[in-house]
Amino acid sequence: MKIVKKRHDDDSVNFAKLHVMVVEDTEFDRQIIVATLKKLGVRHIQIAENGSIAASKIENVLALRKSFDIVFSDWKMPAQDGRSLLKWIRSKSKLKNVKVIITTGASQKEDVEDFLADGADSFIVKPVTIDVLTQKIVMLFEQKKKNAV
Amino acid sequence: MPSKNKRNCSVDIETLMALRELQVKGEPDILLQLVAVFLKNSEETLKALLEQKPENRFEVIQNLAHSWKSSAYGLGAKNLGDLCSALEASAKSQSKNVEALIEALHKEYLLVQAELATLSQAK
Repeated sequence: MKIVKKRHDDDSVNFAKLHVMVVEDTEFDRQIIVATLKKLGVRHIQIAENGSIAASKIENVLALRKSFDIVFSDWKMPAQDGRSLLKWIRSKSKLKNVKVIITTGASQKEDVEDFLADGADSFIVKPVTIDVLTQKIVMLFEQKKKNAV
Repeated sequence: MPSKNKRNCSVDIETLMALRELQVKGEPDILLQLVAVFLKNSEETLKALLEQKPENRFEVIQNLAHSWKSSAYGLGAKNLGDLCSALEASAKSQSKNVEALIEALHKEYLLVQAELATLSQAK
């Protein structure tokens, strides 16, 4: 992991306004992602230990007529895994604008093909770093802006 | 066995310094928090691994090694991460060297634990 030397105040995304869900079964990984998001200025963060808990929390937020901008989800988890959660999100029309980024320990071509085929917007190979996280979020929102034009 | 990294340490200092960069003003010390979580998770995982019977618990061992691998690399414990990776692969293929790898993991974890304690005292 390289040392972060620069500040990450990219103008193209308002990190403070983002609503993010972090789904990770490993407490250490969850804390690293949450800490990285906080460092970027993200204020609205919810966590879930598996896909089942995440789905339940997303339902609760939907009931309030709100949603998440981004869901970071581990792929391999006990109970409901990342693939099941991703398929569930993609089956809900109310969640069509939610960006899903898979966090994974694997980087093999077939795994990446699986993530994208199941509807993930992007993926991050762990360990997560502030540079990669920033780059992924900015890329997704720039893509969203282009698609809106 | 994986080779020691360039500093001949079990924990990479540069990774720890990068984690310190995640500190947000006014929040609890992020590095101390992450190290505490890593040690707690590691103790639980190691205990679970030592209690498994390899012949009928390969899937559990594979999952435990997978989770531990991620946090080991995240904290800069590369040798530990490499051993977890080897254990994950061995458990997946139901190889006979699973027990030897668990023993090697145990030894490497003790080194990681000692280095983290030294670094914590030096802070």
